[in-house]
Amino acid sequence: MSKSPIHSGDIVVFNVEGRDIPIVHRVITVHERRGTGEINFLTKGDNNKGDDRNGIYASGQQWLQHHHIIGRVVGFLPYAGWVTIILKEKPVIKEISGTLPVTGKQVHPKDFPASALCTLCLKISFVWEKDTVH
Amino acid sequence: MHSFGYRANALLTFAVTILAVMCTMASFSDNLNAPSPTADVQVLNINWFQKHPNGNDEVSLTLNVSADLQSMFTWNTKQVFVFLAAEYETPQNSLNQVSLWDGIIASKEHAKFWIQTTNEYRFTDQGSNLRGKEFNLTLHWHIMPKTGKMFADKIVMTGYRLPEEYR
Repeated sequence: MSKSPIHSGDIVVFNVEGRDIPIVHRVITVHERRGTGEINFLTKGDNNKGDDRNGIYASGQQWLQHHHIIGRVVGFLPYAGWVTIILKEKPVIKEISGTLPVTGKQVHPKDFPASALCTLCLKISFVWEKDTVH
Repeated sequence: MHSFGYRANALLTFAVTILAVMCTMASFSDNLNAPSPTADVQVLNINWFQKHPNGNDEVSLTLNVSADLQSMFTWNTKQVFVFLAAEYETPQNSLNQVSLWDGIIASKEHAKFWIQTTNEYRFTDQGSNLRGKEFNLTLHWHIMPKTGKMFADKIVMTGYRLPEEYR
């Protein structure tokens, strides 16, 4: 994640205790404490009526801190997420296509040019295979 | 080497790479656009200004927001997310940004607008520092593309001030 500070308006990816899927919402409020530099964030889904305190955060949680946040959105790659959804829902496809190395781990920008557009945790990496076999 | 799996993999990787190249070109075309937005915000009224039992100040405002963001729309624009944030500092916090209102502009026709509204989200401080506070109102916009890089910018309007006393 780039080092520039997170300000209101940035769309961030964060984890909430008790949820296994990270949430991608926009930061609407920022309070940065003098001295300690500790920052409290409040987020909200653009189309939601209310902020994430009702329903998204853990019970009793009012703010997000830096350690909750794992990434920031810089761009969109349409339909790329469908591959992870298909693989999650139909694991048989992973087994059949033994030659297709799809990892569940980090995105590697050097392998997949368009992933440089998106530091979201969309977890796909393809291998562009050269003809090494005759 | 010529198995079905190998060929399917090669085809899929090639297709996705082409898709990525097309998305990059579409996104690049957004750089050729030179937007010229204008915006103005007035605080029409301070509706109320109180300190909560938990010690935090809160104020309710009626605002007049007018803006012309039509020059931001390109063929690759899905929507523009626009929001107004109050920014100020306090002895306790070096930075506070509180979003007061937001809207989604789905098309160029709707991008020139004038609205009068009370703040959609609560203007609450961490603590009780808002009396007589000077603050900026910043209109931010995020241009969400159909594909590619997202652009964001803002106009900062200074010179707003909250009342000295609760009311």
